[in-house]
Amino acid sequence: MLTTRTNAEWITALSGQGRSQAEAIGELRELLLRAALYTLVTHLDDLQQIDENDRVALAEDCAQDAVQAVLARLDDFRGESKFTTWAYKFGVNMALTRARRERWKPISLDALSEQDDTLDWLQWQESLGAENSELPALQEEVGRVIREVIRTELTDRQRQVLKWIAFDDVPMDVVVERLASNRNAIYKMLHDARLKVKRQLAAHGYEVADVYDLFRSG
Amino acid sequence: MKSNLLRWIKKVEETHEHEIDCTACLKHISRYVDLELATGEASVIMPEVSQHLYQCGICRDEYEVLRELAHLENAGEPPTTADLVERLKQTPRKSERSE
Repeated sequence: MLTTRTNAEWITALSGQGRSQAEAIGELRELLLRAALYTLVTHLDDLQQIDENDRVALAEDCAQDAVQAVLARLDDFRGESKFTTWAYKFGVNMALTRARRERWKPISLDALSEQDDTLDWLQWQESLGAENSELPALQEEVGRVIREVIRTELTDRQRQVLKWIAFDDVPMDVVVERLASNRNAIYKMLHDARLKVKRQLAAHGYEVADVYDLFRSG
Repeated sequence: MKSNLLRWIKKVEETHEHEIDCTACLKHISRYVDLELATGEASVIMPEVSQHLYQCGICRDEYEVLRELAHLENAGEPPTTADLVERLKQTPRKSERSE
């Protein structure tokens, strides 16, 4: 049973020594096991390849790693939230990352890689609506601008990352692992790609909000 | 594919010149969660975190689970380990399901 500790009590006990520290670490472990279990329970689809007992072992592994992470980063806790919320974050992060990687383990991203520079993955259904016969032509025109930016202003790696994450629904941390990169670098690539497209659309006189409506009506 | 394109165009529309990265978002996420549960106004008080959560699917996933857990904790109803273990074991492996 977890005791109710204030933030200060958590930090003091975990930073201390002896029995009080051991008790606090025990409670922390219980808290983070709960976080890991809850995370996996709410993401059971990611665990379909795993035996039921291995799922529990996975949660325990994540909890243990999270305990170590919390203890190593106690100095980072600034009291801007409840300690339990802050600590839960580590358990959730560990469990979600492992769950996603398990789901994608059997899947090769090579099959989702660009085969050529046709950008055939960047497609939309032409509007066949009779109300506005100019719609398909407008879609083609705007689509040409978007394709041109993606083809000429993004690096090959950036274009591949964009395709995987935004269009193939590959989770970012799976891409991070496969490319031996990190989340910030991948996020920056995606942000840069969005920014370039937004700027070029504006340079061609298009409001992005209008572009969204244009393709939504297709 | 088409729905992914639409979703991505919407993200392009909501792109800011400066966006915080995942490290910065996760640094503030626990404060954001507690603020959201206490006030419902976290997106207004911490707009940069809110904006990142809109753009970043995996940070948003973590936020949603964390918010649920913190909410249950605040309500005095955190799920028990025994109950969670039971639920985790419930769904059989994919290969064991009948077609």
